[in-house]
Amino acid sequence: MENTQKSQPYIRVFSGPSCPYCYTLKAFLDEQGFDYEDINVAENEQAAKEMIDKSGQMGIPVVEIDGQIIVGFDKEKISQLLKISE
Amino acid sequence: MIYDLIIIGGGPAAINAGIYAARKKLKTLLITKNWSNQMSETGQVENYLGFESILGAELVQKFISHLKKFDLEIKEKQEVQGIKKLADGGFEILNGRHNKERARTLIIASGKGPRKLNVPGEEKFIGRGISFCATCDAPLFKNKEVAVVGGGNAAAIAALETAKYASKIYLLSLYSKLLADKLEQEKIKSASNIEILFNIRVKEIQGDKFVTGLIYQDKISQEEKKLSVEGVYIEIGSAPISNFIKGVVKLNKQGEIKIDLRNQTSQPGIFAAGDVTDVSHKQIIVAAGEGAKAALNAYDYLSKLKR
Repeated sequence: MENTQKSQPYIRVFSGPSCPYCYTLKAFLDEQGFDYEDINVAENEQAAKEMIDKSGQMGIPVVEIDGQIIVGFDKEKISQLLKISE
Repeated sequence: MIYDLIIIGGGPAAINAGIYAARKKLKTLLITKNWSNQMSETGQVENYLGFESILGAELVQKFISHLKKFDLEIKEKQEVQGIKKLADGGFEILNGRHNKERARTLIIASGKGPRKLNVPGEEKFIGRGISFCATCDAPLFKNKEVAVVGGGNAAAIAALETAKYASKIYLLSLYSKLLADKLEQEKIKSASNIEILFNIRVKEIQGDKFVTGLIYQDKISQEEKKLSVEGVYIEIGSAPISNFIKGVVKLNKQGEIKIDLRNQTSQPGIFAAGDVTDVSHKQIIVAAGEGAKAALNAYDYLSKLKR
């Protein structure tokens, strides 16, 4: 796994304090060396509303990568958008 | 390509079976829809040997990276639809719509999943107001009215978790009392925003884009009523994921696969392990041990075939 050549995309993670898949998702991004904005929907109601509008559903985590919305910890799709190869 | 062994599942039983099979140099394929949902959705695990306290989701990640150190094939995000016994004694599994894989032995370790209500609107609104994981989604129901369906511990914990955020929670119990532990019951009674309704049968979940309410029947008066809520948590227990193997191996009344002391099912060559079986006590460490046993027994079975 090499992180040196990657361009830094704009990543936002909509998460909650006790949400297990949020943990897994963030651990994955950390491990791959990506910076991201971590948004706690429990504290930020406006962000919660934005997330529901954009994703059309009410589950967390949701991750936004350069404007693209991914629902849940979809490792394959996230890897594809971030050009991570295992 | 004919594998020695195909393992179906992504929890502790399947993962440990994968490790043991790979160490025995069996040509192994592990197919799973996802990695242990049950472990990922639980909170802290404090009874797995070697870890005093660890988040379930974190322990799963450790299991997966341990598994990937070994030489076996892994196919994620694939759901097994059916299994067929072949004339040569092997098995063919259908995963996805058109994919087929063949193997001489199988280990079924598909675990358990949340039990559903099977009422109109349920499938449509999953993720659109219906949730099976309060620990995950509770914050999204801040200042909203929510129903929790169930009367056991899981329902009680879901109601208490949601009570931190939601303005009002209706706990809908099918019976005339709660089955949750006394401690949980006391916490619920002292929560100002939880109301318990007894003898309730949920008939339908309604909404447009998202959930707007549900229809329930009062079992005593037989009357049907509507409850306006924006969220519904379904917490009515779990069921073994064994539908895809019905008719191939024997199941008990609960739908669990019957196994013997060697993890053998009623069909020679098909082994099973963990929560999908009738093994006593559904625990992470029990499932992991059962997975190891199943792999070693599959190895013994293959050795006898070759002789």
